[in-house]
Amino acid sequence: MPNKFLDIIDKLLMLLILLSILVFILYPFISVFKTALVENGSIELSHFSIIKQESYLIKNSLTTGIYTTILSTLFSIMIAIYYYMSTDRVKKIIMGILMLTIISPPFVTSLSYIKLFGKRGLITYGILGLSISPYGQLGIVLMQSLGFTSMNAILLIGYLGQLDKTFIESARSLGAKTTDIIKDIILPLMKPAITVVMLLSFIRSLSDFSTPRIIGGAFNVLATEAYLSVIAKGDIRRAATISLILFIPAMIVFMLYIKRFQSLSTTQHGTSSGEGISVKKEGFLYNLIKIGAIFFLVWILIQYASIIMSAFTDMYQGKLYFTLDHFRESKLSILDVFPRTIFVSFISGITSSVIGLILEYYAFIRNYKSAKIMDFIATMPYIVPGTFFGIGYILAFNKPPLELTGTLLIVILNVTFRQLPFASKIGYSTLSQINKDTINSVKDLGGHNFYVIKDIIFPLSKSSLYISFVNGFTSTMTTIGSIIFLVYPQQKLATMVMFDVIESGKYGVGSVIAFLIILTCLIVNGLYYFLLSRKGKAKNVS
Amino acid sequence: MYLKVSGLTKMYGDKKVVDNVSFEAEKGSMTCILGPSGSGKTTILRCLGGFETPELGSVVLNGIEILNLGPEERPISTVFQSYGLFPHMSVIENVIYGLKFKNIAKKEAFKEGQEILDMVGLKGYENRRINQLSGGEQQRVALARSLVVKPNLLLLDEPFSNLDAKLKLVMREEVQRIQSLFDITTIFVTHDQEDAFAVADQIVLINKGKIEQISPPMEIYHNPKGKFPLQFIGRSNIKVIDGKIKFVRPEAIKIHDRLKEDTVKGIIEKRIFKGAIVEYHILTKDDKLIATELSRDNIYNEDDIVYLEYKYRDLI
Ligand SMILES: Nc1ncnc2c1ncn2[C@@H]1O[C@H](COP(=O)(O)OP(=O)(O)OP(=O)(O)O)[C@@H](O)[C@H]1O
Ligand SMILES: [Mg+2]
Repeated sequence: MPNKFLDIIDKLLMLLILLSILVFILYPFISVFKTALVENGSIELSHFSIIKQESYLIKNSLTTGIYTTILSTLFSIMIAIYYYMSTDRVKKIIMGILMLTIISPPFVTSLSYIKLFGKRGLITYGILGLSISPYGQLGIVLMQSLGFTSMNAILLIGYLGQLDKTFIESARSLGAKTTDIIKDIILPLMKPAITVVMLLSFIRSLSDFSTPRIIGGAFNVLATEAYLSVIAKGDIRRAATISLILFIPAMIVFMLYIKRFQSLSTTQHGTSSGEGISVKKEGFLYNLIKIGAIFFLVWILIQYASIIMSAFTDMYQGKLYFTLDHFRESKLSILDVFPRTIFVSFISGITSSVIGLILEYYAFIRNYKSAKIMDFIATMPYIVPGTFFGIGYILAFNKPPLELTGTLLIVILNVTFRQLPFASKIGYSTLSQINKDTINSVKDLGGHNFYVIKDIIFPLSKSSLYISFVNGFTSTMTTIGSIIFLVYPQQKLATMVMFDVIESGKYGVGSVIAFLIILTCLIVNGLYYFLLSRKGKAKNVS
Repeated sequence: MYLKVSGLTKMYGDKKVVDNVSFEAEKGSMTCILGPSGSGKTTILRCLGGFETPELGSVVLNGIEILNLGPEERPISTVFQSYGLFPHMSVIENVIYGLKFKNIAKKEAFKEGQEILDMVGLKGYENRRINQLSGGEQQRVALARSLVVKPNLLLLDEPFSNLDAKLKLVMREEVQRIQSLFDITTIFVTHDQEDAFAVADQIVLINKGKIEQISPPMEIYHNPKGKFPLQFIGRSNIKVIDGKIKFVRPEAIKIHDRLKEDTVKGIIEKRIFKGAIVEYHILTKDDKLIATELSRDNIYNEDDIVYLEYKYRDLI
């Protein structure tokens, strides 16, 4: 092909990527700001009076955030250290359990919490004979902690895995016992990662509306208020205002810690186990950590077991019995929902991976300044509350020229660009591993930039594109926050159907959907590991 | 003997990485474990330090069998190749870390730490961060940190491999000075024979996990025992006569510009100038030899005719 033509394609491709980020990330952001702050052409802050009028909401959000942060950080530290000091087999088990929560919708544990600890809970009522209400702040804190701890632990594990093991061996050689090593070496070295994990937990807790909605009862927080403003009151302005209030702390934290976030979000995907460290498994601190970690892991397992159980069983006159009734009952609500959900997840997984990679290519291989700015904008969806991003889309795309509300396209675009931060981070770490000389040699041989993308970047990024795809697919399968306002009733996705049925008390059907979502994600993730291990074996042979 | 290692054997899977290694060391001596890459040097050191568990063998230090003790219980201190300095602690905190486990009061510990920093030439560096130190300074801190706990045995893994050529020479002398100052029994690992020659009292030469020779540096150079030591240590012209291996070191060949008694005529095929020495590749009637000479003002040229005076020695 003539170079001139390729030049045009090259430029067009870049323009397309940059434009898409402006339109589908920045524009929705601005729309929220505008709606919340501007009225009739001038700045209008009267909507922020809810800070005063309903200050209890802020208090509720803050206290819930703080409790959740403390609990989930503590547990994740214990799990990470326990993992770090365990044998390979135990590591695999721990990782498997942690992955369970990653591949399920955020509020799924709340469902089993009600089943286990609710008024008719299997444990509280069935075993202990108590009838306590599970609803309220305690439930929210516990369920959020349960959900966030896994993510946090995986981040911390990735961070620990990169630590030079000679720190620990040096300490031992100087006479440090296990307790000293944890106290003097491991914990202090983990500090930067712990900070990030705490901040992330806090921000996530603030923006989570699904858990408080399901298990909060009368206990409301800002995030649920934003949700209800749209769903119940149709007051999108109020929702935008609340979202903005939630967005501010997130943005501050993000700006302050952007470097750390970036380094952590790339380590997260390379949970390279390597050789374990050799430390005697003894001492007070180690045992405390072990008990905490095992307690948490068992707790997760019980919750998930109860989901499977409630999908397949029912109560009759106080007795559990096996049944497929829930599946039959859910058939109507899931028959067209699942194919659609899988379709949306599939498309968004692929699209975000490819866009992420190409964006990073223009930003860091070709060194375009404009692409670097876009790269920064592309990381913003990582930190904003899902509702913020969803409301932004309603506001941005409800009128011509881009009237998309009500279409499936807006949903796909939304989840695609919401995954972009992950995709671009993975893209970046892949590109930084590609030798610059390889790229230069293509150009040296007379190859156009276009061929660099086609013949070098894509082939060498295959496996990371796949990681990015699996990541995007799973996130979309399990997300709810950003799309709940965008989806019209006739084109619901699985998480939303699940949210609805749980809200209306049909826990059995909810369990079935949860079970199916988890199963789908499990298959996609499993397929990835299967392909990976087969590739690894093929390499060993040759 | 102060240190007695016998029959040490370590397997990875079914591969014997350390194979029946035995050697001894006197108190206050410097032993160097020398061998090519992958020969098992680090593994031996890690077995001594307690970071690997050998399948067989015994290690007696100062009359006590130590193999069944953990690293924290052994009176041994290791300086790792990457130093393993704690990045979240200052220099002095690093140095006195080991004293924490000897029930020494903080104040006393600081005093001791300061003294030792003084001795390794780092006075005034107490409050620096580790990432503010150069490679050589980091190594001194690592040494100080290991010495402060007064170990019976000090282990150093490739102590000079992270340093540039100049600094390496400085640190080599430093390590030697500090070692004799503290009179501490030391084992250090290297794949660089020059390091070994420069500082060791005895060299333990290993190949593929097996000991090839244990000798003082001069002895190992002049009297290599067996083919591997001969080939690995220094350079030599090797010849097999009547099935017997014979050798002559390049610097043992005397080069004359005119015929003398007991000389062999040769022609200089190639000359390599190396600064302090010159290396000649010389073709004689029945040999192709490498000979070296110190640089002089007028050195031989290629195609010069020379007369060589040399004698092959038997390999023991
Ligand atoms: N954890 C391990 N598992 C399996 N094999 C190992 C392991 N550690 C080392 N080996 C192997 O044992 C052999 C000896 O390794 P060792 O590190 O002791 O060599 P070395 O002499 O220190 O080499 P170098 O000079 O390169 O540092 C090598 O062949 C190495 O591949
Ligand atoms: Mg080594």
